[in-house]
Amino acid sequence: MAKNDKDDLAAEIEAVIATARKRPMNFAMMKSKDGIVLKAHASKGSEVMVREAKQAGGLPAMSAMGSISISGKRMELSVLTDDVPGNLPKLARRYLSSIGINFKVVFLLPGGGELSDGEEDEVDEGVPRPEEAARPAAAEPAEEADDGTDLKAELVARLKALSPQLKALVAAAHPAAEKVSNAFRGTAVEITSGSIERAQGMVAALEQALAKLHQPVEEGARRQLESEFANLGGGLARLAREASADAAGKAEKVAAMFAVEIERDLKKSGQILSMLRKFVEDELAKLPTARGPQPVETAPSPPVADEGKGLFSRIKGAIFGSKGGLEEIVEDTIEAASDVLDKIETAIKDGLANAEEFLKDKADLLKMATAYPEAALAANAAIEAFDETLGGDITITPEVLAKAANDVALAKSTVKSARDALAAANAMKKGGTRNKAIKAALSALAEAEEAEVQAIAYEKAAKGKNLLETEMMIGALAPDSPNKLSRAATLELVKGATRDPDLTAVACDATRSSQFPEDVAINLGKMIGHKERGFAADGKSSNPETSAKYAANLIKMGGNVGPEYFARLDAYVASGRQFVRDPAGEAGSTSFGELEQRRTLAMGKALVDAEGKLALDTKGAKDAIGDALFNPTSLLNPRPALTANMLETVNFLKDPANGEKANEILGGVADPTDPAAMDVVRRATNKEASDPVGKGDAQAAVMATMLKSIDQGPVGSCFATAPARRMRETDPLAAMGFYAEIAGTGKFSPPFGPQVPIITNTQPGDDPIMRSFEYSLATSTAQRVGSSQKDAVNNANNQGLETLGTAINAKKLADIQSLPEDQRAAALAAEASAAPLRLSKLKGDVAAAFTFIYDPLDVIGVGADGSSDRGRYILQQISPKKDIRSKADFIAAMTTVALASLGLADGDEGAQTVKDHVASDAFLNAVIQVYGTDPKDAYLPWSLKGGGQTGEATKTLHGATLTQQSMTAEAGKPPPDEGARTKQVLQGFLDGMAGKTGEMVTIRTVGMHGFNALPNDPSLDKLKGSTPEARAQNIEDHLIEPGKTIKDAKLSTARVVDMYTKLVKPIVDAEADPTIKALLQTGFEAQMPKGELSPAELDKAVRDAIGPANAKRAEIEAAAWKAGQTGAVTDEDLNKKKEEIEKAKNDKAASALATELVEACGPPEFVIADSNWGSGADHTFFVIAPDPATGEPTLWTKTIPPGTLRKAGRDWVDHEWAMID
Amino acid sequence: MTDIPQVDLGINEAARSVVIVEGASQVSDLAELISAAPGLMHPEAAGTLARAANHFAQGTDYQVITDPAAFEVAYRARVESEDPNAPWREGVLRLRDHGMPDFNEIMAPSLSGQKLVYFAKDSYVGLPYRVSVDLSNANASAAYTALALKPLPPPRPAVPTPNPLFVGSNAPLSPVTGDEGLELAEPPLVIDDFGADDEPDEP
Repeated sequence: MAKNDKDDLAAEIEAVIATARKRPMNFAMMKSKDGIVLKAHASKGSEVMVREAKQAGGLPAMSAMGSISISGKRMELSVLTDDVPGNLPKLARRYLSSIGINFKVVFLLPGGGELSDGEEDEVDEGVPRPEEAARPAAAEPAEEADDGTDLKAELVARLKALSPQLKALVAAAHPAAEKVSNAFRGTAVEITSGSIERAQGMVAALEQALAKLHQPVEEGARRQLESEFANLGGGLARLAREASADAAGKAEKVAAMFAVEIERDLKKSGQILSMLRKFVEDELAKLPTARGPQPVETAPSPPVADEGKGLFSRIKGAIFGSKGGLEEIVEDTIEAASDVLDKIETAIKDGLANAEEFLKDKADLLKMATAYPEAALAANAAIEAFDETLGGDITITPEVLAKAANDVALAKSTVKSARDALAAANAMKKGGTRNKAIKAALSALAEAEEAEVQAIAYEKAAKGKNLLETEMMIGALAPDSPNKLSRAATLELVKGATRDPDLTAVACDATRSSQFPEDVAINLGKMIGHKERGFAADGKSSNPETSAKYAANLIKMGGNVGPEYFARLDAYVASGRQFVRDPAGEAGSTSFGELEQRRTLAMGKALVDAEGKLALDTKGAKDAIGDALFNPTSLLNPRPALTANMLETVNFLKDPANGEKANEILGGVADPTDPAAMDVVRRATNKEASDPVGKGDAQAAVMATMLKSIDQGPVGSCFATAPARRMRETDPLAAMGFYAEIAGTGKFSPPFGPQVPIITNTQPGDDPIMRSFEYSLATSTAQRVGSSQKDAVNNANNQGLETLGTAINAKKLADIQSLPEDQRAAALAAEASAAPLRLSKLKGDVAAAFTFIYDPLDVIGVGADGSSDRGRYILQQISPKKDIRSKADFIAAMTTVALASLGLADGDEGAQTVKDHVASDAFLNAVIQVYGTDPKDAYLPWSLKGGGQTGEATKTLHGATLTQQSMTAEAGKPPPDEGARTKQVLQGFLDGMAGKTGEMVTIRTVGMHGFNALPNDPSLDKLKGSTPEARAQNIEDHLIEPGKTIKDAKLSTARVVDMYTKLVKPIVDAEADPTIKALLQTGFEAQMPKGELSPAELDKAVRDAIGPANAKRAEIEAAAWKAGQTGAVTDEDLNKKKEEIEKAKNDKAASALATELVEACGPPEFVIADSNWGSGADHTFFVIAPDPATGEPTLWTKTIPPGTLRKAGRDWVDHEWAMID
Repeated sequence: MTDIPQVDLGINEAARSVVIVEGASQVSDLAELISAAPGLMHPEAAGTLARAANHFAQGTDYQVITDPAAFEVAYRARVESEDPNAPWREGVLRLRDHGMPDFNEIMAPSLSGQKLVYFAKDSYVGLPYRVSVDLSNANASAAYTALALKPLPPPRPAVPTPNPLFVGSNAPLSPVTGDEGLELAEPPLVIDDFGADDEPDEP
């Protein structure tokens, strides 16, 4: 060691000694090649000192940490664990001596013993550690010290000066209040009892602790900055999705810098935040406005781990890029990080013999650093710190975690017992016995609490390490994760893992399953803060267990609702409403419909004032909105889709123009007197059948309905849902108008259909107004469609009747012939005038003789969703009532009506002429060919086509002139392969939707389902083009080609092993048949991936693993099927059955794998339509994306949240796709 | 007994609703009809006039209720035939899903001065409407207003037909009950003053 170095080190340690004489400092001491390294700081934690000591060349294997104080020539090092290396004191003393500092070195062990350097001890034995300060005393220190020394007086004064801070802590129900309070009492006791030296250290420790806990200004500023930063989360996420790579990259980089700087320099972090905010706002302003589910970009190729030359240069490059612009404002941050990297690089070169081994050990971290350099550095430091706590680089197994959890439980139990003992001692009669008992109990409590701290720290380290290692391998921190987070977000997750691994684990899960992963990560720190403070407000705080549950629920909900959710949280917590139980009265709801009705009603009521006007900013409104979003009871049954809709609706109504119109509608709500209106309002407002209801109730009910979206649920169905949902989504105020009409008048008057009295038979628990809207629309549609069907048959019949010719007056003409000749001319003239009138009457009589019925069960016999399109209109003779189901029925009915209209009895002269003509081809062809002679246009009154009920309902609500237009014809027989057919459907869809400016267009998979296209979903932008050829090329470029790439791209070993195990292992475990289980187990082991696999290879591995077992299972099930057949079963039949069963089982597994693969590969997704299916929990869309296993375009359903994709099944693409436009 | 002109309802070659008067002429709107057959303005002709007015306005989409008692019997019979516990189902048109009218409100057509009032049922569902026509205004149209219906007792909870195509959350099927809220943190232990070990014990 050079002299200069020696002098510098001596100066550094002397400075530590000088400070430690005045107050204890946190320290870390490690053996080094020159002796020891000692790092100490008055405010930075011991863990920080450990890192600094390591950076200064210390060896973690020979180390200690804790607090250091100096008394005379004695250096006292109070350590946190008993495992201080035995020769460290001697080593320290010799090293200090070598640089000219002579002190006795004593390590004070937590168990009460000490470890000294073996030299002569000049100081009293058994000096207690500062953290043992919790000794009994009066609540306030004695005014008059017994010995009256200056030091004692000074300590009393210092302690008294701390009293207000302590009181404030207690008043705020701070989690640390009790411990500090005990320490305060203990210190007072020590002063009173004359243990001045010990008291000195304890007072200093208290000052330090309180200073840390009471940094109102700094902590407040930090929280404010963190909160403001969190509020930028949505903007950052949007930039990441939609802005240019340059802008997104810059924003991400600066956000990462903020995340680093907030821990070090508030002023600087404030400057960075200002710059970041402006930058984000400017860039967001450049983006087009868009609506709909989040677009999903093509996942970039996963960064390849680079373990070769120049790695750290690349890491540095990844961190810093090229300097300039925004980066310059935090240049020193860059330098600090660069310094760390240099140290790591130096450590590899100088400190480790085998750099390759080091690289292998750090492979995941290094891979992570290629995408998330700051987070990787932080994770490295965190894991090393965890290892310190864990006593070395141990592997975290389930057993380790279980033992740690058990130790924590035990420690907590001991603390509880100690508290009970203290309470019992306190309750004793006053006197020496009580005093002794209290002192003993306090001592035991301090010891138990210390043990609890240690156990918790150990468990936290084990969980934190386990979490980080898992997440960086296959989770949120893995660079090949499909849900790629920003660098700032990953850094927040790492920081979270060091503070609260449990909540961070929830957050990591949420980044995979939520709509707003970035916001989850960015807001994690804020959430941990709330949790640590027990969501304190108004002097109340919650216990750690319920705080933990609550924080987890908030994280999950926020992830599915978005940045506004997190932004509103602080105000809600400050309001103290989180301590109000069940404010919406939803507890005890027996269905989700009922629960959602109660939740929205509570909020709906609060949003309307006594005058029936919207009042969105009153305290009551804010409380109700907050309760719906955040109250613990509300989160017990999370309804994220409903929550998002509530927020969206409130924001919509806050727009002045919308608010004004909504007020007009509310003001126009009639005082319900109609019995149906009163019924729905009573049910909507949870009133009894005899309760009075008034206008205010109707207004609240309307608002409750407005806060929901219209969804087609898992049970029940309605072809009217598509147009009704379209109206609610694209023109909420028009929907509100209908809600108001239903609630106020009991009538429903659609713009393009007849008014109907509302339907009140709705499912218990469902929103009666919303369902009445859909169902009543169906009734009005039925009337309108009946009318148009009637027009059609009238046209056809009239055309046939026009061919009657002389048949219409055959009898009259015959009668005229029997008249005297002089009368015939006049009679013929009269008949010439009368015949047309007779034909008019005949047409009128025929029209009046028939009606229509709609049979929803016709054709397929199931009245569920889609079957409506299979239903059929049937012409019906009114009197006598008879369905016209054949040509003969039609001829018979027409003959009857015609004869009656013409006044002919069956045997009358002329009757046969009419009968013959109605049965003739001339008449029938005129009817059948009313729309043309092409056979495809044939109109057969006895066999009418299926009803397009979705289309008709759309016309009733959105425009009578809308027509159904084919986008892609039904697939031929045999159909093309699924990929080619899906491509056809997409091309037809894009061509059909070209130029559409609306948010939704109602479409059909004809004969199957009616729903709404999303022609302007942002994900489709890349596919749009001015010509069909341009769109075809875009499909090739953005769907087909990426599919091919994804199919062959290798997934990491860890990831494929994880997916394979998750899919196959449960199948093995669930199998009861020992023979099949053995086949599965063999297959599982044999096909376990040994290296990277492409999606196609993984698909094959899964099929091969379970194939033999599926074949065997199919054999058994086919045999059972055969046994159950009454007729003969041939071998061919049996084989066919077996193949069917086997295929179904293999396809089921493949489908499950497809869902996993599509999540892992993150292929480009194109959201084409809204399915109508949903609830307060989620909503489902139709998406076209490549199947990773084949690369071929595939139609998927995507349920949000959590964003799960499932193959829709090829039946969907094989149908005709048509739009109602 | 007033002589009520004979009218027949028809459809002309242009597919428009017409009324044939006394088998000799046909008219295509109400004003022409009254001009051609002024006898229809007699109160006793209200039923005939209502049929004609309904025909001009709605063709065969609505039917005039000329016999309220018969309408009530038929309506009640149909409601009676419908399953009281069936949920609403798409494509199935049931009067029960809407409710019962106040049958006392439904009257035979009446003509009071220039105001014709009649009740009609729609031809496809059978729901009752009240119609009034101001005959003094040649351009007035018949206004069809749905009658207020009283909901029938709610059906016993019935399980609707599951939607076989539905994709989304099906679980859990029932909400978690309870009002789980935050439990307050345990209050700090408050220890009363205490002193030296040798302090005498209180008796």
